[in-house]
Amino acid sequence: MSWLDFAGVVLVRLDAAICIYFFFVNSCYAVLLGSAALEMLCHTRALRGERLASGLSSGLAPSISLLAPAYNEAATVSESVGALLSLSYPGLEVVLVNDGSRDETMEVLKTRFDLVLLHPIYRKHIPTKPVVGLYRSRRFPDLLVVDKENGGKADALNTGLQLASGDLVCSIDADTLIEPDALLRMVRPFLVSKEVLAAGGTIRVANGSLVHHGRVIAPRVPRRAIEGIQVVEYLRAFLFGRLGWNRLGGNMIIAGAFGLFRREAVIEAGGYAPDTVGEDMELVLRLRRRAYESRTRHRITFIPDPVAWTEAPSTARVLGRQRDRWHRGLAEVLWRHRSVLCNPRYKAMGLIVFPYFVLVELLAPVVEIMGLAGICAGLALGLIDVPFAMLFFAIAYGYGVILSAAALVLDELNFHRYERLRDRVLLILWAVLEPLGYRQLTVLWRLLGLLKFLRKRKDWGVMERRGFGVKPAPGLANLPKEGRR
Amino acid sequence: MAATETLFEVLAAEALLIGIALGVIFGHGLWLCWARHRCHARLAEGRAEVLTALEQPAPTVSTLPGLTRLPTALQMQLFVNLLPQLRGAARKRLAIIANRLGLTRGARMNCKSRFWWKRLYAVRLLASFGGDAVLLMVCLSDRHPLVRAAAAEWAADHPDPGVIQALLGLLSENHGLCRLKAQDALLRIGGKAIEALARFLAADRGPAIEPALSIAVHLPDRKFLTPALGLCRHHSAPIRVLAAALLGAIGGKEAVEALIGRLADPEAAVRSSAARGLGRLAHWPAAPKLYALLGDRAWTVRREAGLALHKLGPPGQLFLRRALGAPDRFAADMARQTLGLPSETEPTAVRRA
Repeated sequence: MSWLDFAGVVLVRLDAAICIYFFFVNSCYAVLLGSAALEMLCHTRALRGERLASGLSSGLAPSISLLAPAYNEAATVSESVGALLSLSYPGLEVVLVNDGSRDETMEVLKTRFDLVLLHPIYRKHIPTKPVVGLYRSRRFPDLLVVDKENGGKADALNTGLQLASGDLVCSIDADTLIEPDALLRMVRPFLVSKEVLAAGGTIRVANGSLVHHGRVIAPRVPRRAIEGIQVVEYLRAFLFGRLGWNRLGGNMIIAGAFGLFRREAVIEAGGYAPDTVGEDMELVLRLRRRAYESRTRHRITFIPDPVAWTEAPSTARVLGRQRDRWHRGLAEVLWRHRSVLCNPRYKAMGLIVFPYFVLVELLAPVVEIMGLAGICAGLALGLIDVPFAMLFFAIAYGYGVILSAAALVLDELNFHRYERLRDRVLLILWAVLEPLGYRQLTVLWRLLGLLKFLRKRKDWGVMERRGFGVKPAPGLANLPKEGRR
Repeated sequence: MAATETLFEVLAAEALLIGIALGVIFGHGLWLCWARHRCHARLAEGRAEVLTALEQPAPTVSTLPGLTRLPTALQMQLFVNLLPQLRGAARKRLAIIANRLGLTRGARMNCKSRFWWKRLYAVRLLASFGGDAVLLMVCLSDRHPLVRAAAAEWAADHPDPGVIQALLGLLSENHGLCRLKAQDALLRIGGKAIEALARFLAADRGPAIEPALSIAVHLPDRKFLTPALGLCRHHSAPIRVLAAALLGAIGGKEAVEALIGRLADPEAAVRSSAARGLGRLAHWPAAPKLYALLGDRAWTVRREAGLALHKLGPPGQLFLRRALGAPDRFAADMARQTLGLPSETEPTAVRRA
């Protein structure tokens, strides 16, 4: 057998394997899409006329503590805290954790909110960097400010977690703008069942939208491709990626930018892990594992209508860092909890959700890059029927566009956020352009993340933010995910 | 060739699906835009008429020509938008107009629909318009929990004995939201529900006792004393916790004696609740017992004992200061924290201030 014959056999087998993978992944997406559509239908039916309801007026509703880490935010912290304090929820406590800022963040807070020193009695369940001082605002008694030594986002959240008094805690990210009624919507699953350990809401891209006093007042689709494509990506990820899992074994990810957790459950589980870049996913997975191991019925839910807005990276360099870190975080978490894989003890999580994340989310860039390399080699060696390959490509491309379009349809029919015709046209344009170049770039970045994971690199990279347009960005922490360790 | 043909067929199907999706995205948006543009002026006219009518003591439909010309869906939209913004007499007048326009007729019919979502919307509408008590009472025992929860909201404004009994029945619900709405409704009914709630607690209705006790804690009344005294010896710890909280809210000699007895409960949560109750009542003769709890094996009990001593005023402070020199380091540490004294191990905490 000549080397050409051998290469031909290898390529044919590789192509067959990739085709099988392609059908498997797309079948998974189709199932998720169906499940998401069903879930959305039930959700909207249950919400019809809800605004006529009076809501909870008593102290029986669970209290919520909003954990907001801050680092060097002197310029915007005052406005950010003001926006958080104005959220609609009875019994809301805002816990701002100043993670050892080197600027005037604490001084601004003390002056603006008239802070007084407290002597807290709290139990240190989770080791954190020392607390330097704890303050409560005289003007806004629901505001608690924790001044601590610098330790990174997970450390700041763990400190806030232990000092918070709410039954539920909501962690938010640096660049998150929460809609006024988002918490009222987010708390719903916790009212329905005590089994709910955590709930996540939709995160949308705020780039290009009009923001005023920490509120997105007019959603817009960005004109720059790199930002606009992320709008479509986020809609697809949340409106059917996350929603679909509600009926198929539960979610394994609650975005760190906007998630609501049962405080006691998180503390018992040991809080956020400071030694991983995927601390949000790691926490959810740990919560679920503990529940399965103690044979406790539990649920991790995603709700589509509570919305938080985030600032997406606006340059390829920063986006690359973000995607590299996300994928590294995914690999770290899946490796740390590898014993869950195909383990019947963890039921749906071990047999469906975890294998999906390994096969589809983690390994997708590897398979995609192998596929691309195989096709290039096949074309070079004349082993591939070109018209057939082009047709196959067109189908794969079309399927990608269908998935994006389905997410846009779900969004349009249920939320109708983007009212202008121009925004709709842009959305479609970005959905069509996404598989042509952008997707391949993200594959490369994710592959890079995987390689860094194999080399055990733990750096977070630096995130650069441009702010939300005219008004200063009320992002709370510069420290967030992209901390400074 | 067959494979290529199949691929072409798949591609055609994909193109069709994408076309449909585009049609939906643009079509829906354009339709909404058109509907908004077309109805905006008519809705504004109807709204202005309704707002004028709300100022009259007895509004009639004849004074609302613009509103009556609107299609039912738009009338409904107008009322659904206005209702949450109105309270008291204005809301009642709006409900009268809605009834006279016949808007609640459809809702009444839908209350009997076999689809839960139709029943849910109908109940929400009827509850908002304050209509048909008999029908809404029936909905309190609907087969879908969300419908029952929506009916419970209506019940909060209708404190009849029958409604209160139905709400008490909902306390044993498995569906959390339904149970919570019933609790919330009973709490909003307030004083009129106390008698029935006390009887309910005395009868010890199994799983419904816990939610009933949590309502009673927010409505402390002497009528709850006897059932609370009995329930603080209940075999279930969460019930003892709530019973102790209730006793702490009611107060009085018998309550205090029962609370002191619960300081020796085997469950830490009950001991904590009892200590909190004594602190709330500022019952200073209990200071020595609370002082003893500063060395309890459970941190939560130590904290509650410390806070309770703090609330007792000078007698409690005296015991806390004495505990600073106690041989038990846990008790001394808790006393130090309660008194807000700087820690030896974490010097930055207070000294910086």
